[in-house]
Amino acid sequence: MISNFLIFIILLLIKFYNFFVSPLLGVRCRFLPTCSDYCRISFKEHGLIKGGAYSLKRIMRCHPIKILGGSDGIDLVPVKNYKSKELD
Amino acid sequence: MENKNVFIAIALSMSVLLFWSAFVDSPQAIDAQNKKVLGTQSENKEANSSIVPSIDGTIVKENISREDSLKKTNRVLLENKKIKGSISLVGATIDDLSFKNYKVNIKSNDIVKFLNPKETKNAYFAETGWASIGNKIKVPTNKSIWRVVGNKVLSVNSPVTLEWNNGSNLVFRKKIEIDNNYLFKINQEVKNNSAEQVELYPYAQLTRKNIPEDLKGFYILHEGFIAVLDEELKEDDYDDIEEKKIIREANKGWIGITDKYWMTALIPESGERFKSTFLYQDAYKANFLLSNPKVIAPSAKANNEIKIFVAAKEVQTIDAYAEKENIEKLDLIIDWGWFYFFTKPLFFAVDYLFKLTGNFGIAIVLITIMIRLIFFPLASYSFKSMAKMKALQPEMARLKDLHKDDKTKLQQAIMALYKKEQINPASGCLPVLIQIPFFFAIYKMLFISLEMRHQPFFGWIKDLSASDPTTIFNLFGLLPFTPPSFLIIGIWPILMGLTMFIQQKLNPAPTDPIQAKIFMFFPIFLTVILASFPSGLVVYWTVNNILTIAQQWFIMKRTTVKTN
Repeated sequence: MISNFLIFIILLLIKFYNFFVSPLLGVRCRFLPTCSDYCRISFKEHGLIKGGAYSLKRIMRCHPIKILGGSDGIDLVPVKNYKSKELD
Repeated sequence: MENKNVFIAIALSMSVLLFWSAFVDSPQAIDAQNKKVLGTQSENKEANSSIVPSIDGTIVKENISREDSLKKTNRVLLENKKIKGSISLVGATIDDLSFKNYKVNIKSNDIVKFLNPKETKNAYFAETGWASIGNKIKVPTNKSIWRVVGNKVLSVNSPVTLEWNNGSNLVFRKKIEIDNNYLFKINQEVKNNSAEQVELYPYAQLTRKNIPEDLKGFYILHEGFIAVLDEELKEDDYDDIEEKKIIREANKGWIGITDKYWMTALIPESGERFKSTFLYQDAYKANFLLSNPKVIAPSAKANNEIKIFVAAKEVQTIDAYAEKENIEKLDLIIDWGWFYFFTKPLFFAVDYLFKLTGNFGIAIVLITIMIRLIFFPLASYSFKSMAKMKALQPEMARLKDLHKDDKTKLQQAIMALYKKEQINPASGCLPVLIQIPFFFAIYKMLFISLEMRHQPFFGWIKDLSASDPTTIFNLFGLLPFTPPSFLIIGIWPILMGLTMFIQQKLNPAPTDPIQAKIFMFFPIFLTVILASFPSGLVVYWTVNNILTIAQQWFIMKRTTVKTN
């Protein structure tokens, strides 16, 4: 229950970021889906803790410095129960 | 369509959040006034005073001027290089104290009067004493008249001793010392000349009639009751305490009341368990009472030491006290916030630059530039691939044409192209996200900084901690009238809005038409909000915008040069 509420708040924050912050930063996505899409899907799919962990891992890779774990390209949220999940 | 509604809802709730604290009178202040009217009818009665020791705390309802009040009672004068004032011999309370080094405002020569006697409008005082169970023992109250023994003026290394005889064989003494800064040490002593054993509980109490007039009521700064009890920080707002009193027990710590720039704190004798109470009873009160009594046998004496701070929140001074007097986490009285580990080092950096350049505004500009420089490599890391990008333009155009109806397919195709060519022009979101705590820390640090108070910048900015005094509505002073305060929109906030507008123009406008409209109003909206903020903050924000623009311009220029 509380975790659902927290996820709701987080999704709201992501919407806020998409709307108010992201346009100020210009085009800067290295990944597809974008980090905000990725976080949204992983919270919906995997819940607060696992979804949070996936989101954090993705954001930590979202930079151009390869030796510090920077990466790019197509990177889908890991699926649950082998069920394929579309990009939303 | 649903999406749009969510956006509008978010925009509206954000504006309510922002506007509320900026323009609406703090609800705390109004509540407090209402309560005060009701409060006068209830009398001071501890329901269970027969089993619990109670603290004497009647508040006088008279309302006379500070000067008249000071003349009414005999006083012991006190002064060191930072504070001056006096101690009333009626009740032996510290109720007259001013900070010698801080002016009320930039135009006046009056120093800040912080503690005021109990009959004045803004009464605020500190007292110490002894409580007994059932009030059977005659202990000194706030009406008891004390006698000075020996030295009559309190200064550094020359303590004052006060004495009061209860008329039934108990003699109370207080030895009061002050140091070079803001610390009072009070050694309370009871001598039992009677034939019976006596049990007394030492206490100290802060009483404040009104919340401070300059209360910000702003959510990034805590003002009100504060305590560190058994290493845990407790913060309670004035209106919380009006609603219900809060009692906590602890083995060590301190309690106090904190303002934006000033503070009072009480520290019990170390090693003694105590009960801390925050309450509202005709006035705001914060007190502690030791949990175990001092047992005084016939013809014996008992002692108890209490420390009282009445201080300006100078970072170095407070830190030194926390260390020297071994007072746990006293430095938390300065509200560094969640980003403590960023905020405090940043403060020391700004303070260093301030001492180096002699101008706090220049220090702000320098620290902003330095932080941008640290993060510049991250922002510009992908220059090289930018050049390669130009070479791929024809291929990109072909893909765009191929997938012009399917955005997802297009993105996927572009990603695949990047992969094949081993490039990616985007710098990602981590470089931006990583900077957010820094900017929040600067913002917070500037908001709470006593060191910025009354510091000038260039030209019309005489006080970086106050809002920009100029306004566009009288053409920055050309027209001879003063608009109402909500129309005071100064040069710096307007510069901020302009730079933000330019920054927006450098990026493609959002595709959603509603979003694009809201974005157009964003700089105007922020200009109005920031107009009432400390100008130091606006200067910081403006410089930061200019640097963002410069960085983007530099990157674009460098990229074009490389491709040629």
